Amino acid sequence: MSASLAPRSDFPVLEEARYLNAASIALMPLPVRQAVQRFEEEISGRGTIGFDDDAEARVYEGVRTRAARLLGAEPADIAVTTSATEALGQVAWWLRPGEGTNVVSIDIEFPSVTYPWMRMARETGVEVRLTSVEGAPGALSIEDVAELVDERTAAICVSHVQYATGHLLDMRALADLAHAHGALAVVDATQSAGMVPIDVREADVDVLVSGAYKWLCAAFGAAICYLHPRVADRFLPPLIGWKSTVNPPNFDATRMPLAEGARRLEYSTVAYPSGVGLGEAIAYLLDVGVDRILEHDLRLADKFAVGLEELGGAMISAPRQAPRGSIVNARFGGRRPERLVDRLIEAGVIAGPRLGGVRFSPHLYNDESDVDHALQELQRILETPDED
Amino acid sequence: MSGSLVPKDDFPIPSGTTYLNSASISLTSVPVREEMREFEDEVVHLGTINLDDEAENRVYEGVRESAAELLGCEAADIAVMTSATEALCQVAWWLRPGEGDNVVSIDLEFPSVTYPWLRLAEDDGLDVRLVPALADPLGLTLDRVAERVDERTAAICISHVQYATGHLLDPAALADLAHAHGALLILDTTQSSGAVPLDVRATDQDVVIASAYKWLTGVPGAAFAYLRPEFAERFRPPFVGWRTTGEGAMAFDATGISLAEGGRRMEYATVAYEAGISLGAATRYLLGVGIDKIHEHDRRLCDLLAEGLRGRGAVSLTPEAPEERGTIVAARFPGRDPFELAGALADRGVHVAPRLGALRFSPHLYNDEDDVGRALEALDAVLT
Repeated sequence: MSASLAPRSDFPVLEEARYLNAASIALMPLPVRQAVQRFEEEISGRGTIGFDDDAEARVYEGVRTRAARLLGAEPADIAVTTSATEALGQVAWWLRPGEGTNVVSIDIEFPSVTYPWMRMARETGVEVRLTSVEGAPGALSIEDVAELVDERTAAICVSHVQYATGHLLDMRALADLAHAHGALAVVDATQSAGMVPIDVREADVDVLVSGAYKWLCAAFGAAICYLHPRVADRFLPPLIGWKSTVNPPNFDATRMPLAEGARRLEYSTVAYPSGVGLGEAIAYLLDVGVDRILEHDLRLADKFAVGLEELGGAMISAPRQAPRGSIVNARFGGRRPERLVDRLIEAGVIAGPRLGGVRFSPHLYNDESDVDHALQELQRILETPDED
Repeated sequence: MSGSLVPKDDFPIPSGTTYLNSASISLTSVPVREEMREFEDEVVHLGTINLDDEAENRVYEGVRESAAELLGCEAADIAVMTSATEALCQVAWWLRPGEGDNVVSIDLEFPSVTYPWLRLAEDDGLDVRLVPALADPLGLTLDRVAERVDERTAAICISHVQYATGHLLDPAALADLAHAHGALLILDTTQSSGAVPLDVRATDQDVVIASAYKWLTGVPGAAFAYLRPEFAERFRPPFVGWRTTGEGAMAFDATGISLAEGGRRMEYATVAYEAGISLGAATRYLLGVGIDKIHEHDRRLCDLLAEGLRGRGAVSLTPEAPEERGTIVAARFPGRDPFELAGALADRGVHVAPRLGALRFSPHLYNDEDDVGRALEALDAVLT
């Protein structure tokens, strides 16, 4: 019987529910919540007292340092953005690939990964090539992606781990594929950072973004963006404001000398408590160890996969021998996933309906009893018809 | 003798502190902070458990409804953004005026107002025309702006109230000026919304944008943007994401983008929920007090400050005419370094900001005449 990797008392919600929905929103550990609230109290109750222009300019240094450790980067390579979507939009509008070029992604991606490029297609006529796996989402491989890449590919923009199926694409292979064709490798690690160990230097990716509120166990309003130095040097941020410059408290509206490194992606006064909380959350996860988290999460995910198959589920998530994250998704013929999930929630089991299946995403705070309990409840629900 | 406009308990300012820095970051009232905390306890800390449509509405519709009341528009005209800068960039990259076109602003603006255009100029040769007012801030007038507007002007992008000087430009006159040349007026009301009344319909506004954490008394991480309905219809947001599709967002369709109706098509990702809650709740709080009353109160404190500063040999950067200023007073002390003065005042518990070579005072509804008296006293001590 494997226990949770972190004290369950750090996640009080677990007393009320079997929370298996980290791929939507993970639970925040108490120390992270406290860090967010402390900062909120400060800024709402004291304004600039103890938080002058210079302090504001330094507020994200701690997050940058910790995110750099998490990703194997230098702090100067890290920007704290308001969302992963924002960072992807920045990259798309900077790159602005034109007519005759193409960007490669996948048709079952999270929409925020493909939308910036589809928007760009309207603007410039760039071709957006989506690897089609919707018919057989369980079979995604990097070869499928490679088929669409050619000499006119400007960027490959895909998730490290797929939100609906848990498929993990090897980042080094993606980067090599992109670079062999003179393209940029842009990776959304929102469904992996905090669960799968990442080394951006080793992987040689150009851009990596991750939202905070999934596997990183932090709040809405902050995200991280890694820019390889070779990209940062020539990156001209389309989103630009007073914080984008070398010395923001200069407030010079007539010139905008850009900040060095990835920090040039940060342009405005933002939800600082979210960002500071993200730093605390990364520190919390690093203390536990991301290697251990992956091992733990996958053990629970595999247990889920076995159990869901036994219950007659048609698996649409990555098979157990494939590279994958802690996301398990099964369809139950003739049963609406939304209704199954509603009934699970009524029974205190929190999962999500995605891509026609019921998706479970266990994380460090879960243990085997959560999986057993969820499977029991699901079995009970499957044995009785849905009333609607 | 007038007290503060609101119960002192609503803004428990640390004792010995005089806070006159709302133009940087305002204080947030206890009722608003309680609402934020309640939302955290009921929704944020429970993952997806209570994150239903009702919870989302508390964040987003709360902002839309209160902002609509504040500005005199419909809730559907309002977008909820993470910052005013983000909203400005959404508009700038959509408009993307090219070579031969120009955008008019002012050289002493807050940088976030001019930077999106300067950035576009790097890309496509747009002419950014900045009215020179740095050398003589008091010389700024609508005529100086008008001199630079012509038939190739794509937009006038300007603050309602200037962050450093408190200079107010008449929004209706700006709108007329822009429209007479077929240009768009983009008005940043970050330094006025919450302290200066504005009716976007009566003044014929196109785009109005304000951050939460200054005069609106919310916290950083949220802003609202008003889009004139005719403008919203043809607006194609450059920055897009899963929220862009509005009602369809939960379908998670990666293969096609269907735009949400109205202002909300500007929204593409999730804001920090607490910040969104603060913006809606704080705006309601201010509406409860009354924007006219707040305006009158803040202005009276500004008048007292201006008078006190004049008596101490300061050179004002803020116009004297009431119709030409917001609720900010800025003054230079010849021969004195404003950073040093602001630091020395902070040591005495008086919080103001050094901006544009001057000390900037920005009193709001939680301040009273005693605060002005204490600030002037501290100034006396610092100046001698």
